[in-house]
Amino acid sequence: MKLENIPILSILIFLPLVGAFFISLIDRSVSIANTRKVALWTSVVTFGLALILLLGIDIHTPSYQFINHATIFEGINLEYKVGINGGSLAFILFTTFLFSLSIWAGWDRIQTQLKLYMILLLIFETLVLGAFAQLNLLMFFVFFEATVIPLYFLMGIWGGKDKAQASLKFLGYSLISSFCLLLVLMKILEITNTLDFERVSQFPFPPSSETWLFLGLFLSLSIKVPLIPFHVWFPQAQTQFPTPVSMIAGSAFVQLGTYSIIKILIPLFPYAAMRMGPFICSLGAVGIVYMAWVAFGQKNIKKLIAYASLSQVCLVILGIFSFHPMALMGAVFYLLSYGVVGAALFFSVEVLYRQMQTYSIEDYGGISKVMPDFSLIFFLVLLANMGFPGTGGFIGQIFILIGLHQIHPLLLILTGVSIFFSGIYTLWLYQRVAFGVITSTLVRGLVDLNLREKSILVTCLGLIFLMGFFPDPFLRLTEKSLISVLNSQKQPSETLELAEDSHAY
Amino acid sequence: MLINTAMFLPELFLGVFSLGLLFLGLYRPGIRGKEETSLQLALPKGASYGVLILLLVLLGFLWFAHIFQGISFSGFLISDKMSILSKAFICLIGLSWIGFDNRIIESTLERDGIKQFEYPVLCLVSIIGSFLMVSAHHLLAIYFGIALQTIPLYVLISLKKGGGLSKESALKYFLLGSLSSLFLLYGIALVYGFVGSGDFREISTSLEWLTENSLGYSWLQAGFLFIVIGLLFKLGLASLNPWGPDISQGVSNAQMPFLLLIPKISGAILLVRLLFGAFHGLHFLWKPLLLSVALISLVMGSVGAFSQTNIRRFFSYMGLFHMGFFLLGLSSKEFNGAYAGLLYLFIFSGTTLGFLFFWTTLSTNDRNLDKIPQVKGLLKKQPVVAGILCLLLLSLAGLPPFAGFWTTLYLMSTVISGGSFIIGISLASALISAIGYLKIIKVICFEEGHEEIHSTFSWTSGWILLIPFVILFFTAQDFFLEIIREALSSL
Repeated sequence: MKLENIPILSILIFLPLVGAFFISLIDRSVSIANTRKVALWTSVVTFGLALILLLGIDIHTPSYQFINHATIFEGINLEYKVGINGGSLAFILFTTFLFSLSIWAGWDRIQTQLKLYMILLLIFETLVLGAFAQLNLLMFFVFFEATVIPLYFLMGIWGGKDKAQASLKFLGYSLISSFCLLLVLMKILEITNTLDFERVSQFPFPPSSETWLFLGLFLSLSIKVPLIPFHVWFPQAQTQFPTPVSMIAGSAFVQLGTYSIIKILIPLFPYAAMRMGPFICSLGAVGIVYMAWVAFGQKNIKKLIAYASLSQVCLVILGIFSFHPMALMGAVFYLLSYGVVGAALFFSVEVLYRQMQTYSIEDYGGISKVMPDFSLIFFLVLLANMGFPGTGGFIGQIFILIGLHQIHPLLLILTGVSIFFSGIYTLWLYQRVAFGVITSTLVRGLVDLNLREKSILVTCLGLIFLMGFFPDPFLRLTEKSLISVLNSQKQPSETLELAEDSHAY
Repeated sequence: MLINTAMFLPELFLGVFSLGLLFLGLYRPGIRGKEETSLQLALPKGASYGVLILLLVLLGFLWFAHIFQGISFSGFLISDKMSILSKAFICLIGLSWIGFDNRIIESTLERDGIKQFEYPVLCLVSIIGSFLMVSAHHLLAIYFGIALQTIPLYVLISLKKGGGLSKESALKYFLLGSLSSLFLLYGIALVYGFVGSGDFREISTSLEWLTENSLGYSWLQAGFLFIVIGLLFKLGLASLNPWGPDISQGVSNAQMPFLLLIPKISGAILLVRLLFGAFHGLHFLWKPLLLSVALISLVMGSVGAFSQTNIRRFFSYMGLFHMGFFLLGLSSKEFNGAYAGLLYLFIFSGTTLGFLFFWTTLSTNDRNLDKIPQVKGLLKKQPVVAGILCLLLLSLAGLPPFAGFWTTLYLMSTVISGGSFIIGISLASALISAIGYLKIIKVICFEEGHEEIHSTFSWTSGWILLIPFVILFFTAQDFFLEIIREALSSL
């Protein structure tokens, strides 16, 4: 059997959608148990397919493999075209894994309208996977923007108390981002007459328009990622999402946005990226410190985690725009580990919330006495979050720091300080939650982890430590595709000449 | 010239049918004041199927007319692919509204106190007027068609019982309609005075050999502008729009398509025929005019709709916004813009119609829903209808991957060469309108409401077909585009 003959990538992308369709057919009387099972199996099989792709992929080349395409709209030469290389596959693997975990985590958390919840979640999975694999810019836009729809409903229907305001803010920011993205795509279409990613990336843009296009696309992606100063929607949205959704929504947006910067933004406009690099780096440096500072003062656990993750995102952006191969690899590795750690953190908060119905740090204190297992695991997860040696975050941070050191020592100092900060606020959080005297009767009545919760947290921890002790396979998977991004980076002078040539004719 | 009746069998059939309904209503003893309208009496039980048959007969006639294309009634009317396509579309909209789910619309009408047997007759006569509008081939035929279309509407609007709003609407519509007819007729007189004929073909040939120095050329231009302004007034485009929302507010939900959609579609087709057929020689004049009107409409429509709470006012403003996009397509530099504009027009009027229908099935305390806040918590009370409404709203908001997104995208790709300013304004207003639509979703799904909402929706309704269409539109968009391209090439 040859893998090339089966459109396995498209099957992977649309399998969750098929699962959602079957869920919609489930009869009302047997719906709850069956819905959960179908959703879980769909996501697990999707993860399995991603593993099959891993067996078949050639990681020694940065070129896109498993390419499927189909024409969608002849009127504007629109083509559905998917393909992956090592870098994309790494993200697809982690995304499918986290989705299975999230469905397993939401097993008995979601009580109302479970069918609709699972359908939306699976649609969301299809859209995220499709956005990772798309090679046509317009179809990328379609998948990327459509993720807003299921998330809007997930937040609006199952969200927390301030969901109305948060969902409108989320929607507003997303639509502004898609507005910029569409504007840029329209302009690219006008200039190059195609939106096929590989063809557009070979097109020499004239420097003046390249800068504007770069800025437009960067603005759009930085709202999604989200970077300072467009981050306002993110902590609020993360607080209002039901926690199983927070587990994936955060990492999906961050990973999708950041990986799009690596995969699309830099290869398309290498020259502009090089020129704007220092500005974006300084933005990132400010962001790291600012977000860490804001996280420091948070009273809501979920918000604290969201701000902490925003600080980490800025670190990743720094790693990318330092244009150092090691920093770039470190950034991607950090992103992958970030997804798992974030999921584990949000789920830990969920474990507490399920029994206490509060996210406020003040209401906790002394849980280590009543929940010893949980306290241990929570501590390990927090260590992973601050990038303790032995966890995945550490490898990523070290790689980024080495890269940054060769760019500018000041950046190194700033990031070092912020990493120090992150250590303080995570440990302080742990101290306030786990230690101290039990004051509230609610805390005294807490019950330790059950088997399902333990399995989720232990799986996450296992992966985190696996990444920490054996980073090699993960790094090798992404290495070649990332180096090729930097190679496209090496051509700015040629691009300039070509562009000037095209002007001359 | 031979009067070829075969081409106009649909109009004749509709005319005879509506007169028959009128006679039935007048002479059947005891029908006045009864619960049943003449349409219900005329058609067998299970009127859905009866109207379906009527629709099929009409489409059959249209197919028949397709064979006998040409100009008839001494150059007064034309039957070409464009007119047949738009007639079929108007047929689908109008007749499916009257009849696919007869009971639903009837009960909505009853809740608004409309029990007159003339109701279906007036609707059908208005449809005949629209048919004449889209097949006009003479300046006077335009006026004739518009009059036949709007005069029944004046009466139709005033049928609603309770409150003075519907009377106010009817009077306002009547007065402003007459005023715009005035503009139209003055323009027609000027053009006729200069060209010596109202025939579209003669106008376009005379424009070919005319130059700016010709005698009275500026009068011709003035006359043309009067005609266009009259039409824009009828279409309720910016900045001649403020009457639109006021009038929509006074009507019943069940009359919305006849007021909001069919006049706009037929007027838009007429505009296309006029601009690309008769007055194409003056494109340097109408392209900038249309472009500015389009941009103002986009902004006024989207911003105006944003904070409306009355659903009919909301859709009236959104109609302005969508017509703005249509005009943007017409005014683009390429001919592709006209295809895109027409595709946009058809898709968005179809989706709006669907939304209005599913909205109309809802009622609370035996009253029709007027205000958007009234659907609070619909998702929990009527999950199916709420889901369908949300889907249609997502398509209307132009979010991927629904029908609305692809048509907007195609339209934007044709106006791209117009410059960043135009794209910027149109995308920004699209953004505002999208948020406006999504705010309704917020009300439907996320907010809690206490009042009971009833729905007359059933799964057997033919309207369900709209759902797969909206979702799977992208698989067939090339097909629709091809049809429109062929229709436009006949101009």
